[in-house]
Amino acid sequence: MIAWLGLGAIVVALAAASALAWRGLPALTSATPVAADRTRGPVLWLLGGAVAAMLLLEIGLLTDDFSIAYVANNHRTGTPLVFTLASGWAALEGSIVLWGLVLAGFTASAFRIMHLRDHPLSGGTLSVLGMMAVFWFGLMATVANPFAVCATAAEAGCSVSSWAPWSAVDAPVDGRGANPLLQNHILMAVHPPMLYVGYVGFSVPFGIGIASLAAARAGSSWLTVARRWTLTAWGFLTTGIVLGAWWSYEVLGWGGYWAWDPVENASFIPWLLATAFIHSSVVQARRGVLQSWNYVLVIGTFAATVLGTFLTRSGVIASVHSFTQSSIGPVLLGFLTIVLVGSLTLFTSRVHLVGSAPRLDSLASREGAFLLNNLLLAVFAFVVLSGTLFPLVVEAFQDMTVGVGRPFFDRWAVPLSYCLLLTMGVGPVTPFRVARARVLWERLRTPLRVSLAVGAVVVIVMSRNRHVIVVTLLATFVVAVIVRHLLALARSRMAASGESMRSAVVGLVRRDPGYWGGQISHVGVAILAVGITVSANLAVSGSIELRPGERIRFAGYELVYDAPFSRVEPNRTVVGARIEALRGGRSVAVLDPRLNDYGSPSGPVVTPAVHSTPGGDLYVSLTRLDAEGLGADVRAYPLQWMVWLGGLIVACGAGFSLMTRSRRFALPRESDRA
Amino acid sequence: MPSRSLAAAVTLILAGVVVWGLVVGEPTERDRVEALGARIRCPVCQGESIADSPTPYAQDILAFVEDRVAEGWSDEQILAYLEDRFAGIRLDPRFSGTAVLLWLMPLAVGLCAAAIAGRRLIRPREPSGD
Repeated sequence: MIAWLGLGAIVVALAAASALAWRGLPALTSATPVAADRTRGPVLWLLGGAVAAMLLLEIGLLTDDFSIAYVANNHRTGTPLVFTLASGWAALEGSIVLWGLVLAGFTASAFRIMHLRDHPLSGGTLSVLGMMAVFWFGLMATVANPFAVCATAAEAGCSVSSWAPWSAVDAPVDGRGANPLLQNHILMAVHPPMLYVGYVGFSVPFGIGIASLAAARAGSSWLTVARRWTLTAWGFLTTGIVLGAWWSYEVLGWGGYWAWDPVENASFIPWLLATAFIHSSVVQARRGVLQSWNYVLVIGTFAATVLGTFLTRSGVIASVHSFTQSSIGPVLLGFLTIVLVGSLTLFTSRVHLVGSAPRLDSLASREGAFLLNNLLLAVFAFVVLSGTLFPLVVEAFQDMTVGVGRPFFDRWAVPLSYCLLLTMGVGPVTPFRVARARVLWERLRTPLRVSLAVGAVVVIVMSRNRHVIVVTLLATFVVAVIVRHLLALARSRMAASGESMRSAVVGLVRRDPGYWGGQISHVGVAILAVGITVSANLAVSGSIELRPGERIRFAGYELVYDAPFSRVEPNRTVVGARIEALRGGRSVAVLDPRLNDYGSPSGPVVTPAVHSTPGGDLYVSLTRLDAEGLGADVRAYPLQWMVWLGGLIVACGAGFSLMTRSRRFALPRESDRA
Repeated sequence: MPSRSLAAAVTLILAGVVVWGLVVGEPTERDRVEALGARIRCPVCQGESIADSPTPYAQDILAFVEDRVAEGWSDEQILAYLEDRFAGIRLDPRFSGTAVLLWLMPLAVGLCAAAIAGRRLIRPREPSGD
């Protein structure tokens, strides 16, 4: 039943997507406006089909309908509710259903926000989004049918599935259950949807860019909307990446949160390119330059999301994220090729129409800072891209394995990040056009002294680690520049209008949410940078062996192995050790690192225990637990919380920018005057 | 103005302390072992370094590295020794052969981009007078 209904919903969505692509087409081919009445029907049917498909898949999971191969292979009776729901997107086919749903959601909002307000590019944008929906729902209707029925049952799960809903069904008694790693933490239910909203969201600015290129309608009409959509997607992507890092830290037990794993990289590349676009679009809005570069960034960001999907879904790389080998790899590669060849052909055929003539007066200006920022971000994206693809390329041509890992990425990422932080400190207070040294010095003098003072304190009381010194200094500089600038502007506003400090600050920030939202993100990046650097460079790690009752000193704590424990839960067997952490003789925490056994052939999953304090985290993960005692890796990460907090503040900045409709990136008064 | 020169002096002193901190920060043996560990792939894991991996195999290699560092081997000697025994054990490809491309490409891309941007975007300075 569900197999029929599900496939039906997908076919409906596919038909609606085709209709949408077709009806919007005149806007792309002959720049003819398309009435909103023509697209309303397809958009609604697309959304309806996508919602129905997702709901039906969830119903299948909730009702333990093992006649559906996806349910049989990714679910088991007794799985807690939240992980059952999350199973709806935890494996290949389901993840594509979620993808389709998010795309349909974005298409519907693009219809509401653009087409109902008669934005000149809305018809073309919706047509491009329709084409993408044709691809994704076409994938679901053919090689990746999430509602394929189970034709031959295995002991647990399904060994042979059949695409056709009318085939003979052989449902297993129970399912195989999801990958243990994916049902181990609540963040797993949140991280993928966030990431998908971010990923898929970049389809909209891409659609807008293509529509404006096709109609040869350059200028600010595409830029302003493309920027807002990019900010939306970027905020979600940032949240998704941060939550993913947090999940990795809380679940995987290796102590880190970012491994430069190919799939992490695949989410980081579009993030970097979108960040570049968010900045360079301001230059185009203010000075009319960089228009063709902005098209490149919008296309590149979207292509990078497709590349990321290809890397995740095709099984070409081994990583915690890759799903099993499947037949959709070549299809995705084909899609990526079409996207790249198609959009770049269009771009080159239009570049003479959309290129920008005006030139910059001086590099010592806000524009210059934005250019440097874009250069750094583009090189950063290139480093991540080449490091990720290099092993694949070498293996394909030379029949040898080459490793590209953390050292390569770190060696580039560290200096690039230093330069980015410095640009982030100076750029936002550099006047447009030509910055006079006097004005700049006036704005940077005090922040420079404050950050030097903080740097000196770090050297004297905290650490002689070079990275820690440099990053705390730069991060303080970034924050101090922003605070000084805000106070200086507020003071001149107070002098002019006689209002209070508080209302002056609120008024300023309200007047230009785009700028101040950006500064919120910058503060987040500064916090994040300190968190990353301090937790990595000042970490203490060690291995401990304890018998019950034994105690050991570690990083200012005294750890006492209390007793082992075990319990049986519906979906897993948990064994663990209770370890009491004392500080100065007082008990501060009871840690319970565990081994969770989901009955999976790969063995139990190590789940670390983390005790977080404002000073840092104590992180314990078991390596051995038996009658004699336990073995564990213990680590102390100072200021680890700054990584999560900073990352989430970065995302909040995007939300803040979008809260109010910005008036074409208006800028604070002081900058205009200079 | 005395307050002004005072501010300058304080700034200089603070800068001096920071520079001193940067100069004194020398890597210890422990730092070297950790840095090396991060550069060596754990042969039985998926893309993890021996410093990150909790597996006994990785820990054995790390212990080996620790002993060699204590004996005074150079980083390159240790890496070359391990590479002889396990192909592709380095996480940072050696600076030779195809890998030179990988290391230098970002630099080349950055320089090209900067050159293009400079040529196309910056208004040439107008000659003063005639």
